[in-house]
Amino acid sequence: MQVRDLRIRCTFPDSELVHGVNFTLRRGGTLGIVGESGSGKTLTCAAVLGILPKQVELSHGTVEIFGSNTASFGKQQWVDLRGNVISAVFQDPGSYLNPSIRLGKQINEVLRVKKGLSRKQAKQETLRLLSAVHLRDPELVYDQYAHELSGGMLQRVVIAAAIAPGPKILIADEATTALDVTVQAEVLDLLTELKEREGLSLVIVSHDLAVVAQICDDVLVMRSGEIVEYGPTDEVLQSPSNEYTKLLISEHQRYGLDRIIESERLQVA
Amino acid sequence: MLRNAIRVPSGRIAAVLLGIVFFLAIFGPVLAPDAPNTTVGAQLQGPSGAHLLGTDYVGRDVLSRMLAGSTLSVLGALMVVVIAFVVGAIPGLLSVYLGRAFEWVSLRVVDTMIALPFLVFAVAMTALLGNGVVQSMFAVGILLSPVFFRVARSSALSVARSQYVEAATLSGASTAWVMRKHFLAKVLPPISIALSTTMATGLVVIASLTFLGIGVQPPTATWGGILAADLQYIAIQPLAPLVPVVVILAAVLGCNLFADAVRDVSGEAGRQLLNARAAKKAGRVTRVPRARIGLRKGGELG
Amino acid sequence: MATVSIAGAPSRGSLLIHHRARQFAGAIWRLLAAFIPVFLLGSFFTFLLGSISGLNPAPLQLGDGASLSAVHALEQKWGLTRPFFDQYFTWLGHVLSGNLGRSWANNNPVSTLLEGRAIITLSAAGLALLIGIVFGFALGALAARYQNTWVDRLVTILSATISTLPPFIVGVVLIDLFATSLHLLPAAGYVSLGQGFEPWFSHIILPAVALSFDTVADVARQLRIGLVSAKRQHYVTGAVVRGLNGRRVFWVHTLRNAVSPSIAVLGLKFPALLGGAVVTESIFQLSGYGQFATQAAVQGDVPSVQAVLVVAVILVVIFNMVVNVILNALVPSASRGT
Ligand SMILES: Nc1ncnc2c1ncn2[C@@H]1O[C@H](COP(=O)(O)OP(=O)(O)OP(=O)(O)O)[C@@H](O)[C@H]1O
Ligand SMILES: [Mg+2]
Repeated sequence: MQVRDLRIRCTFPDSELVHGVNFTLRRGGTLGIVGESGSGKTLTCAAVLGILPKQVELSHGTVEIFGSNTASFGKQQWVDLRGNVISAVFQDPGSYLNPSIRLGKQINEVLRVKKGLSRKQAKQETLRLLSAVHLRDPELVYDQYAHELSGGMLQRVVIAAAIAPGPKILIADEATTALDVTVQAEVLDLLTELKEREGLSLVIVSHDLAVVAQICDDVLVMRSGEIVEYGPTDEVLQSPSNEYTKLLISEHQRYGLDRIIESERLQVA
Repeated sequence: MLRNAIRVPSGRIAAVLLGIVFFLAIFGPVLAPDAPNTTVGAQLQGPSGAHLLGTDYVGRDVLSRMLAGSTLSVLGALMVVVIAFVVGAIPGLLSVYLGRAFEWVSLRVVDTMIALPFLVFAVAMTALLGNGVVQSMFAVGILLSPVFFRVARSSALSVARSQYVEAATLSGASTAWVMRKHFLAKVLPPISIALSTTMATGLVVIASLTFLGIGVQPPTATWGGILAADLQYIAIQPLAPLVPVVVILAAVLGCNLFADAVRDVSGEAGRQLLNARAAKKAGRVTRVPRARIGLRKGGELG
Repeated sequence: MATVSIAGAPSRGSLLIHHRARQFAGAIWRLLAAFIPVFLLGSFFTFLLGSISGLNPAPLQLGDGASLSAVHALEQKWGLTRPFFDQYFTWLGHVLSGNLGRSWANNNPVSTLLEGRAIITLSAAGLALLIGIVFGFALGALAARYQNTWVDRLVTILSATISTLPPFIVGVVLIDLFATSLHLLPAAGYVSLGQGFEPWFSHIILPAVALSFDTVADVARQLRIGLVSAKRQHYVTGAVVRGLNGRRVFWVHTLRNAVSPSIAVLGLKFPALLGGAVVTESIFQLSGYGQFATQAAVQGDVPSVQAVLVVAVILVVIFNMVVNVILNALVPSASRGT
């Protein structure tokens, strides 16, 4: 996936929100996007997924996914792309699941629609996916509703639904932000594991530099709609060229980021 | 609040309609050119110079009957509102202050009353209890009382819970002043809305009952009764029913528009609307900055 | 809630079944707790009304000039001298076992008198409900689909207007228009369905339309609000991102959560549809249960009136229970109190 000079503007009131973002996601690679709140991370992801909100439009630049430019996509092509090639999970996973449909049914639906499985095959596959995301009791979760599970479990269900049709790219927009530290670590572990096993490429969006440092190959630092720094993670973290990035890093030092940088340095060496 | 309500168009139309309706209700019988119950011409005539709205199936003047009937039709509905208010508001207030048992029972009773098929019960109550005007007003008033139960209850709850009343009292404002301000801003608008929508319902129900000949018997003139008679002879005078139809609708519309106007001008959104209108009138920019509105004195909503 | 699955180590299957059974029992209990008081109080009001009317069968059965002792004997025969609660519980017991009592006017069982009439009323009310659902849903969906365009505004104004028009006024105007002026439909009367669909329908359609206006307006309004707010929900975005197409997202995900307020409104409108029958039946000269109630009330035939009222209460309670069950099935997460 390649994003070139992406500009996003809001039509009312007229203003540009994202001013030219460039990045490349290599096959099997992991890209981290960090930046303060309102810096345009979510909008960038939405542009890539073709789900920009009303009154917000892609005004310039191209998104190329496996060689095809999404600018020319019609409705049906987007539907074919989403799920099969690219998928996403977000913050507050419970709200992204239909509150009135049993969780298993929702994964089931994706498998039947996107992969044409029969009901029975879909159920088996759903149970397999639920255990693949390390839910303790797939059978039980299959028949439960979103309001009956905890946030960490819901994020696993949402991930299972997202990877069900076998996408190549998964965007995780602050997928771990609201979870507590141990659960956050578990979900990140799960994402890395899936990446290795299913050959996924990941885009990890976060406020938290530590999260990105742990699992990303490349990192993109954004501020008010612009890229302030982009490069391999260890380079950016060890020798940041931008003031803002320096600030971010120094703030995180207190929370043990230095140890991660330390261990990375060892790996590099 | 009344002054503000007539500042929006719907409020102005409502004021005109309701003005006419109440004028007719009070002075209608005096203004009537003929006696409502005497035959003054040929039967079922169309409008003419002598009889502006024509004559009915026994040759009575329709205009005179409409005017004579307005008293019962409008003041009857007004009585219904008064009864509904008294019967509903008092237990509504008590349900907040009188303890759990009373609260539980009164809420169940109100739930049930709302679930009752209203008109069937109104007909049955009126007819079984003596089939008179007074009975019909009490029957309808009692059946409509849940509206006021709810309004009174929620107002009482909002007073009981509102922290700003407490805060204002602590900051030295007199209790009477606080209550007055709270009452004008928070309690009066929902009550006026309930009063006018109930008045609309009351007009329709009284018209329905008199249409059925329940509570008021012919030859006493009522809008509903006139409509029922017109319907009998619709093949001969197809336009005759439109007279009571238009009058009843105008009265109902007046009440509903008044409720809309109050809804529009009360609360924070209402204050903004009023200020924007005032600004527009004065020829200034129409966009009123939000921050300033919040600082304006709130007493304006009186 | 997460504890459910964590605690389920030993026998997961049975735990799940147990959990669902408890939820189901809870739902049934909430349903009964909400509706039993309505039924009991409704039937109590009904009986109380007959009782405080102070009427007795004498005027209907003995004429005006009956002697005091004859009246007293008659009251004794009908059990009217017994204590109030004694009478009430006997009557309630009879009602629950399907015995609606006998008319004072002609001694016939009220249930046989009501039988043929209830069908007429339910035809009109049922068709009105259907019109309310179909047109209400169509208008509401249209307004939500074209939100903030002239279509939306038109639907909003239309529903605000028609919701203020009382059924008997609409009825009169419809007769004037379709029967008297255009001669398209019969102005009055009823033909049973057994005599063919078309004659039945042509007699029932105008009363049904007259009754339906309010329901159409309210369903449209609620559906519009429901759809507009459901469209903004994250789970819709979620379904889109998983690659489901627009039609599927709307029918499976948006609509399901958006319809509940409009279905709830149907439960609230049903009493008005039954009540409105009194007037529409009079306008269109349908001898349904509304006309029966009016005649019986004017005559002072207390058992017949009580029977009609209690049947109406039962219909309302049953209808609302059905609505409640549907809502629970559609939106299980919404825990509803009453
Ligand atoms: N629907 C919209 N209409 C107009 N402006 C929007 C809309 N959505 C977002 N914006 C604006 O775009 C900018 C970027 O928003 P975005 O959600 O991408 O930020 P973010 O980096 O994801 O922030 P956060 O870390 O809080 O999620 C913000 O300034 C926001 O005000
Ligand atoms: Mg974001």
